[in-house]
Amino acid sequence: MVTVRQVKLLVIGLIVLTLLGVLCASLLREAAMAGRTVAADARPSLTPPRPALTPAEEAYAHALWAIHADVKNAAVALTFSGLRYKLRELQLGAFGTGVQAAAKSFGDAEARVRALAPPVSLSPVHDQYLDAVHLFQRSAAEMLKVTEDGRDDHLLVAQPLSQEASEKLLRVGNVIWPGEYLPN
Amino acid sequence: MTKRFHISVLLALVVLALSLGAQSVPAQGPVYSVWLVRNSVFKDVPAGAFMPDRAYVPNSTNPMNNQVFFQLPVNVGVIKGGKDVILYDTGWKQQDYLKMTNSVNWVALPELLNRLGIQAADVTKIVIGHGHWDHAGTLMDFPNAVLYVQKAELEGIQWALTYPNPKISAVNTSPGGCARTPACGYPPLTLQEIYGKVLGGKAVIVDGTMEIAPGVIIHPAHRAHTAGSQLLEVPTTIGKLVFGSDAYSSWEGIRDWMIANPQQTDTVQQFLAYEKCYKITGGYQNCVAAHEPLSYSEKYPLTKNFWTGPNDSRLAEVALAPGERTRKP
Repeated sequence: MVTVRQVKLLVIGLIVLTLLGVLCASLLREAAMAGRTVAADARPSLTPPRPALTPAEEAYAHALWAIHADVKNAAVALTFSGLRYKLRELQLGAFGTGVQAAAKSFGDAEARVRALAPPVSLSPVHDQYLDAVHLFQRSAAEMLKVTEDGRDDHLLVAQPLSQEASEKLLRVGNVIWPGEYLPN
Repeated sequence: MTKRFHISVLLALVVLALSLGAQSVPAQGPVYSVWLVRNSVFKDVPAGAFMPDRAYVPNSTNPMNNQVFFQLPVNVGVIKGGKDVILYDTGWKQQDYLKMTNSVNWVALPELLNRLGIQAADVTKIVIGHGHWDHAGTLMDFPNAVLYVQKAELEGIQWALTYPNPKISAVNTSPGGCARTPACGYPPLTLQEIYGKVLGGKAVIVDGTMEIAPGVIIHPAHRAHTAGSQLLEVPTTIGKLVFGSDAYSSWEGIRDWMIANPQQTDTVQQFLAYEKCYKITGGYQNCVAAHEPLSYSEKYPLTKNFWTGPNDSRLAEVALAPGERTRKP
């Protein structure tokens, strides 16, 4: 026989269980929402934006950009001349022709860069770009020696010069052409 | 009744064993330890630029189209076994002169390798999935490693750069820049590093398929991202893995058969590269993606066993060969 006291205990028990259930559900929901908040906030923060170039700096960057395209093409052509020669895909004559063409491009580029008048603030950048072009020229001259004596070790001497020049191009780009390279 | 019960139990056990076996087929022969590490994150890449089928639609509640940006990891595969430590891709090298706008959490690859007990000089082989700057950008940091690059990749770059139409031969510096043109993404410095490996006698120019270590096989995936993209099959204790670099930019893309990161991609070739992983591994779970936004979470199960490294980087233990101890702190 069920007593009134037992019924009361049963009802109170059910109420407590229900409240506990609601509490658990709330806690779980809060935890899930907190997780979502963390996920939303997990976006990494950006570095502060760099200051804009002045109009004079912009004009210089724009003028150098046109020359830069030719320098990069010549740099890559120089690399491939050496690469294909080393892989025996190019004969010595074709190798020499390719390197000479690149050397001429670097000579033309040097004259065009010298004709630019950088704002004082970008003088170091200007000098660095000229350094890069000179390094490419020295690299090309060293590579051409292969056509004179057939010794591949000239390529080993030339490659670090081109590599240093390539780094200098990126250093200049970092100052005046941010975003030159996008994710690929 | 008892006999029928016994037969049922037996059948159930057989089905269970078969299903377990299908989920995880241990590779025959040598198996390798594999980790995935995150070299950096490309931040806030528009969803539609990465996966055209997932372009953001304002107010859409469809999970396929309700995301504005993706945060893209730059993942590098680390494979260890026998006498070899093999890298699949090498990420990129942040310098004082190469910061990359919208890039965060960069960590030098040698430093990440140190966390796995590997020194840069220990790396014996590097397989680049393709030659873009953010995948082949640190070759000279690994002086003893032999580089494996597809012949078609080198030919493709040169073809593109010498193509007479300037709209097609465009590089980053061309008017309007470049995004999808075939020569885009190969700065002179990256090509210099490849050339440096060739000059130093540390490069193998691969023409198609090649086994570079027992069971570790390069598969061509030409035009699946670039002219000479290549995949890498690796046997492990959790079955075969296939690394895809940017032919497999998104693991979700492979799962859902959607193209991703279509830089210089023939989309049909990308799908065929996806199919190659399904055929080799028996599904999509073991396809290793270079930029999967879900990387280092439960949602990309291969990478769920991850931990946090320096500069909030990520390292994931994908599979350990017998005898290899965990590096997870």
